[in-house]
Amino acid sequence: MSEINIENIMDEIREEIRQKGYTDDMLSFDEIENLEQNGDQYLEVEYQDILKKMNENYNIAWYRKLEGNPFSRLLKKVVRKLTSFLGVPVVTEQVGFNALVTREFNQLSGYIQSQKDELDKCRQEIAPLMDKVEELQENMRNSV
Amino acid sequence: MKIIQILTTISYGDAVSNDTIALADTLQGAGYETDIYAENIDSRLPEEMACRIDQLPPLSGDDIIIYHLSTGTPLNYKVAEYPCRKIMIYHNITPYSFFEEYSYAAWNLCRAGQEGMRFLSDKVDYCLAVSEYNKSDLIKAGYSCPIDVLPILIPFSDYEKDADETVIKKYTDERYVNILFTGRIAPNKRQEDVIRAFAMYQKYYNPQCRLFIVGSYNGAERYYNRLKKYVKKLHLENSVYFTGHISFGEMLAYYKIANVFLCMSEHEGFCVPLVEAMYFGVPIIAYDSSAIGDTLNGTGVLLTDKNPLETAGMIHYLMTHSEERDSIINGQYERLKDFEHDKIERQFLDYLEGFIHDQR
Repeated sequence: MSEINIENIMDEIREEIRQKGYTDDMLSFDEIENLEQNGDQYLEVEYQDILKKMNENYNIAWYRKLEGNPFSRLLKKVVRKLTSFLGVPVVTEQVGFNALVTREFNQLSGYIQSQKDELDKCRQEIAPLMDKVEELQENMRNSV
Repeated sequence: MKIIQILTTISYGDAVSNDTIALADTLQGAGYETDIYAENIDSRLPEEMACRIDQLPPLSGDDIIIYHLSTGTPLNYKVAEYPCRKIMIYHNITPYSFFEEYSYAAWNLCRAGQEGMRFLSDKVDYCLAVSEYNKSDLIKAGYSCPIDVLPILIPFSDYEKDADETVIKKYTDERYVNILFTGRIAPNKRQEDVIRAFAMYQKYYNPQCRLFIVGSYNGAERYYNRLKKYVKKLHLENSVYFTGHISFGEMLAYYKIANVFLCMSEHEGFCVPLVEAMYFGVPIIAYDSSAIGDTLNGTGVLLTDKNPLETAGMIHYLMTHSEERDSIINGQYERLKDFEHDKIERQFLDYLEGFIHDQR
């Protein structure tokens, strides 16, 4: 249906790629580990992603911008006013709960990070000790 | 005579549900007595929209069932038992091999779906396939009843709704090229190939670009995590955005800010996002697989090779040749006319009346 010739354009593109020496050597998708996703499996990238969304969205606003023509906006405003005694407490309670859960997850994130730091520190301390152990074992083997 | 539409799950936003709801409106508008019955009903839908399948009243010989087949479900077998005439709308079932590495549940659903589809081959009276590709799938599965092709009924008026201003404000920047792919995160859609082409485009043609991969990853967490890791390893975290499930207004906004729609999918029964891209005047670059070629019908840019460098070159070409770009967009607008709501609606009613009066 289009009047342009896609094949000719593709030939032009191929020629340009050849002339400029572009190559598509990049990491293949097959080289990316396909980890099994169990419910209890921790994935840092997923955890941080969800945590970010939680922090962005825990606070639910009772008010939404009203849309429509002036009459329908007025009508919606009246309905909102009349039902606010029902909706506001529920939303407030929900926001309070969401805030608690989000705070807890932030705490967890901090805890995970502190454990990772502690682990790194331990690994750094262990590394020279392991070298020392190997050295001693080597000395023992030589002396026997 | 009642016309009953049956499907496994009716929810917000998926193509099968949207098609069912749009057909229900058409049937009601044409004066038919009609209802929707489903195994699972999204609680966000209005209560009167659909009833649970176990509430289906007794049917008589002159009633008609329109069954939407799209997955594996016991309904694929149960539907054969209803004592009335049956039309099947085939939305396609993804080959289960795509899910082998990622999800046993999805693998099993697709496998069961294909078995169910074969089971129904001599039990329905008439089929509507949403693309020529789907029609050929049915023929291969042994269907001998009349089969017509009827594209998905898309209510374009929905696309006139308000787009999310926050997304538009955040990403509207003349200096950046925004590349878009929409559709749930699924291995058959090959989002990794979209990422690869994007990586090449950013490396050789234009560092100021962004890729938006729009769609829910529910049920495909393993594949999603692998994609995210891939993005990280390619150092593209700051320019590739996975939105997850978003609101309709946000989806409209992404189409409005997009400069190119890039689809590398290897299996689509129709691919509604292509029609959406046509509607929003976004030039399409797509890999020629399954029903993609049928839906584009000579418009957009159809790639026969999956070469990330050449795809990147084509993105660059479209961004730097405005005349050709406009020509492609105009071609897409022409194609869009074939999917006009009124046209498909008329076609559907013609097919239905033909079936009712036994002309097919």
